[in-house]
Amino acid sequence: MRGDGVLEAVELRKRYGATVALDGLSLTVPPGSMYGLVGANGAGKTTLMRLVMGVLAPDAGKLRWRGRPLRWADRRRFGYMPEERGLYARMRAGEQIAYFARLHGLSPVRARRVADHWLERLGLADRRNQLVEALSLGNQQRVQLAVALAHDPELLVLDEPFSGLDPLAVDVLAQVLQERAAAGVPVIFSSHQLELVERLCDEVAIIANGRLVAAGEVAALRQREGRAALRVVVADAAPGWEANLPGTLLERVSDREVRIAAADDQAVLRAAARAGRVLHFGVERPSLAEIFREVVA
Amino acid sequence: MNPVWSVAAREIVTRGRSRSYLIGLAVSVLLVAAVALLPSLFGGRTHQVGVVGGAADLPEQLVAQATAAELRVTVMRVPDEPAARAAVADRELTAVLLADRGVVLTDGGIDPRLGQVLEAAHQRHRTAQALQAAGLSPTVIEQALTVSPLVYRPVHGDETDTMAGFWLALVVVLAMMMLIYLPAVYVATGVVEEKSSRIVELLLATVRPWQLLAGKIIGIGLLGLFQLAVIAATGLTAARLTGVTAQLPPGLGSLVASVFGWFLLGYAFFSALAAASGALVSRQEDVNGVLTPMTALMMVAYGVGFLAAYHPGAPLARVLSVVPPFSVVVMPTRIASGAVPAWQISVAAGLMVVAVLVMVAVAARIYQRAVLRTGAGCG
Repeated sequence: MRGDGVLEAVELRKRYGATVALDGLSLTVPPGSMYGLVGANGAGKTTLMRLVMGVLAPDAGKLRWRGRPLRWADRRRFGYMPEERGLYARMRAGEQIAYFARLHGLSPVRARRVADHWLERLGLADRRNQLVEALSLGNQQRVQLAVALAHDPELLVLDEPFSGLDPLAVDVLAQVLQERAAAGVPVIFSSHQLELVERLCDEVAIIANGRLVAAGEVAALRQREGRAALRVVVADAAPGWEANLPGTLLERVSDREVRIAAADDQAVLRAAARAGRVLHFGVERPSLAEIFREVVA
Repeated sequence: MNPVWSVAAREIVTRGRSRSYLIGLAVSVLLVAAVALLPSLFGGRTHQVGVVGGAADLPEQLVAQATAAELRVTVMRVPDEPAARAAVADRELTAVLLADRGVVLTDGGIDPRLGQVLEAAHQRHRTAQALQAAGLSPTVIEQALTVSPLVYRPVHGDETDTMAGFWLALVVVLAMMMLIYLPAVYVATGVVEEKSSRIVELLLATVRPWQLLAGKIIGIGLLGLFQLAVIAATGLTAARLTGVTAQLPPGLGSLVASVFGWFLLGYAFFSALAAASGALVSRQEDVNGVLTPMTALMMVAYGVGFLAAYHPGAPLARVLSVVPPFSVVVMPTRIASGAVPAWQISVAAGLMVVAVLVMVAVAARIYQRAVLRTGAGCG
């Protein structure tokens, strides 16, 4: 385990009746990192976030923040976007953001100012005085995000923040989160959009059945986990040419194109040249999605 | 800033601005104003009375009698009977007393209280005339005719002194229960709103459950108090304008004042109970059902208050006057009807405060569990 983690989870356990949600999960979030949590439904991501936020208490295990046990006072400086989205339906967007900022200890004047700032930033400036129930789901999600961001938190814990957003909103959110991370605020978020996680995150943790199955920098994971694939494109080959290639066929993209895993890439190249005219031959690192499938399976 | 006050401020702002609150406020103000103004619309006006003949101080006597009877009367001299008839027929005057003949000219009917005033003035006037004819000096006559009104004194110091006091205590206690019940229901629906809108998880990640509940109870309570203050101010203003203040039952002011502190304790307890009940369910449709035990407890408390008002000295009343939550109705009833040792009042209030704190803690605990209950899954 690395010693420089700003947030550490140590052997966390949590069960709901007979269901084990977390089964001794440990992980370390480095300061100022975009930290992606990846896992199938029911893997334990939401439970982990709830434990971090103190909404639930662990059955066993510890959480440490900046080297000492995580306390309630620390959590008041965290920003949270729960899986169960929830806002006061009959409250205006701006007031709602300011209200939560005040609950986090901001003065009324500052709370109003940060609410205006985030409404502006997230493209909701003209919705400030609308009731939340009158907003579209996407805009409600933006308000939810502003609520998590408004008090300038020291840690962001976001459960599926990208789900339900249109591509433009995804870009805005990604930009905002990267800014926060660059400012030294660790951002922990879960997502099923693995290519997004791959693009945004410095580190990822893959969780399955309440345990950490793989974690680390995305690039290192791609190096370490999963085998590199070869992409081979061959023209003018007889049907079934790919059967003659040595190694394991990963994917048959088209009649001309395959992805294959093999220990000896030069042998593959020679076999491909025998089959026909080689248009493309290259080494491909596995995507996060592939690593995920491999380690979770 | 303490989160409790932020929560309370939100309740005040969002509820105080809601249409239902404003309409409720307007309707109750209108109702109270109407009730306060009604008596004056039906005979609360000033009576114009004429006097023909009689002693020189007869008009003064009439006004004095009317004032004692809390009736507003202006009296004027009328030269003779034909003029008096004309004035009554034209409705310039309500009635004319023909003092020397012992006759009252009316337009057909007369306010019975005005009749009593005229009768009393007439009796006194004739008696004075007779005594003067018997040779007594005006000073002696004046002394003889000045009699203090009767004093009513109960034999049992501990019992309600009059039926009026009994009914008064009953009405005040009933009003107190109503004033506690409505905001307590608002607290319950507010708690359920947070559960059904699933904002509860975000709130619990931000503030302590007890801070949330305390803020909610305080905010809604302050709104209720404001509404009460507006209603009271309307009623008192209307009463002053029409001059009915003096007709309110004696002792109302002190009773209301002593009830106020108990009202606050009662509100805190029952609203915390309502919050705990509300935290058990997640849908608004279930609020009524889950509040049934609280409603039943309030009914029992009211029944006990009813008994205590009837028999404040009974052993059961003495015991229940320190037992939460019955103390909030029984203790003020006992205080209203006689001396209660200060230590008993302190014990009752202290136990009530403890009960409120326990109730808030219980409600907070149930509320905290709400995350598990609403949580869709454990992913």
